[in-house]
Amino acid sequence: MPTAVDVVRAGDRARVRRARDGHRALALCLLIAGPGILVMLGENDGPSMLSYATTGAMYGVGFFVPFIALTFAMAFIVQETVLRIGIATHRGHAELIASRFGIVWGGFAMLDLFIGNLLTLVAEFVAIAAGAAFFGIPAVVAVGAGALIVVASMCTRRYFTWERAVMTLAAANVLFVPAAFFAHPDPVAIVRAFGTWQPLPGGANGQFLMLVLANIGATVTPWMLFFQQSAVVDKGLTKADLRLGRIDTALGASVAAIVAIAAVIATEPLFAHHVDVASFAGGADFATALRPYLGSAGATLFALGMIEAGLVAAMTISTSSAYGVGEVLRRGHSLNLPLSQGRLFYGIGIASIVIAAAVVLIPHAPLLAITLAVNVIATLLMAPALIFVLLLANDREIMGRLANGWRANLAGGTIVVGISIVGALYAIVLVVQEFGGK
Amino acid sequence: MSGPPVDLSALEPDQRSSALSVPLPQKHLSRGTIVLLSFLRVYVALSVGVVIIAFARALR
Repeated sequence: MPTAVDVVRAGDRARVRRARDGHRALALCLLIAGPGILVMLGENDGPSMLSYATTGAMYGVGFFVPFIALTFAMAFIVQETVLRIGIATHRGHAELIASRFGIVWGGFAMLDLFIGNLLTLVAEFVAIAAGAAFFGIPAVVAVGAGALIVVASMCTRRYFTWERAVMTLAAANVLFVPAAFFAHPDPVAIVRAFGTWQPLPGGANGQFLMLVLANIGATVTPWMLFFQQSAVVDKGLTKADLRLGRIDTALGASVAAIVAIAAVIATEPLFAHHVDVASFAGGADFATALRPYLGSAGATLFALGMIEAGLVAAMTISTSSAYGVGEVLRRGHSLNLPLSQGRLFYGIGIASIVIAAAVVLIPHAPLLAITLAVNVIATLLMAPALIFVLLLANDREIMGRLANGWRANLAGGTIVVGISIVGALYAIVLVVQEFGGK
Repeated sequence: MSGPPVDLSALEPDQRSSALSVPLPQKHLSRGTIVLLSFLRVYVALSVGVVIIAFARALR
């Protein structure tokens, strides 16, 4: 007996089949595009854009420009793996961990995802409030409106509609690119940075290490693994879509890298004019500080970009929580579910949004402590998350011919080892700073 | 009440809800994987402690 989800998904797949049979390449690309672009632009979230802005303000155009491009190349390799796992198994990441490695690891994945995402959502609403503050909009209005938009997007009851709505909003991520042009960047300096990975003012000191780690943490995080695999499954991608799925992911990584580098370039004038950004707490601070150098238009674009970054991330992250909990508890988990059949799924997504928005509005809420916890959780738990990705990608019983080959294992293994080391190092440094600073 | 016939031919058999409702069997883990997962359990336990300590100190 077909379910409502089967019917909607079959309709979407029929459109893909017609486009493929009719050799309508552009239509096919547009139909397949989505999960890869969304996961990459979703990761260009509020805290990440603040990391890139801080990088530009402290180091200008130099080492970090090619370094950010490298981190997105790593993100592509990791996300391409979960794309393959989703296509091969038609099951979400949390579900696969629970079924293949036992409910203890499944429960851990679910709790890790839910708690980490909830704290990250708080940081996203902080970014929304900070961006809106630039325009004089009170936090309660900005956060309330943001929460309403995210909840409304979840209630479309159709994955395809939700995906298109979020992609439309995510297009505003590129606002950082025109903002960068207002900084009148030197094209020669950018090309030289890519060629030489220089300059690196101040050398490789502790502050530099922290920004290296923060930039890696801003590019590859656990929720991305869960989100893209679940989205690929919900969209119904099959082996025939793998090539276009890879292009979707590569396109997302490329655009996100350009936007991230644009944020570095846009804040470069703060570096050139020796503006101290150590006390900057949010996007509004950066936008306000940039006004004398980018003009009102450039600063406005920057503030709007911060609002968009928080909003799109809130949509994708809350949805990944809903997918993860539904998958492990084996309850309905699809954006194609009618509201009456997806009470747990929609309830988890909406509840996480409402709780996060409410926390931001609590007077004297420990937002800095929450931001610290987000960083520590994301970086510490990235190692086990990536190890499960590799274990699943090498599970030939479920992956068949899409299982990792030696090249993919070499690339993936190198990234796992590298990210695990710097992630653990980042967490250790954060904790040592906490202990040592008092 | 019966609606129009539903065409599910665009879905692969293992994409349908009936197939997805059946959980995959637990994987037979090699000795190396069991050792790796044991290390991960210790790592996660330590990580949770680090997170709690960091959060508690940041609250002060």
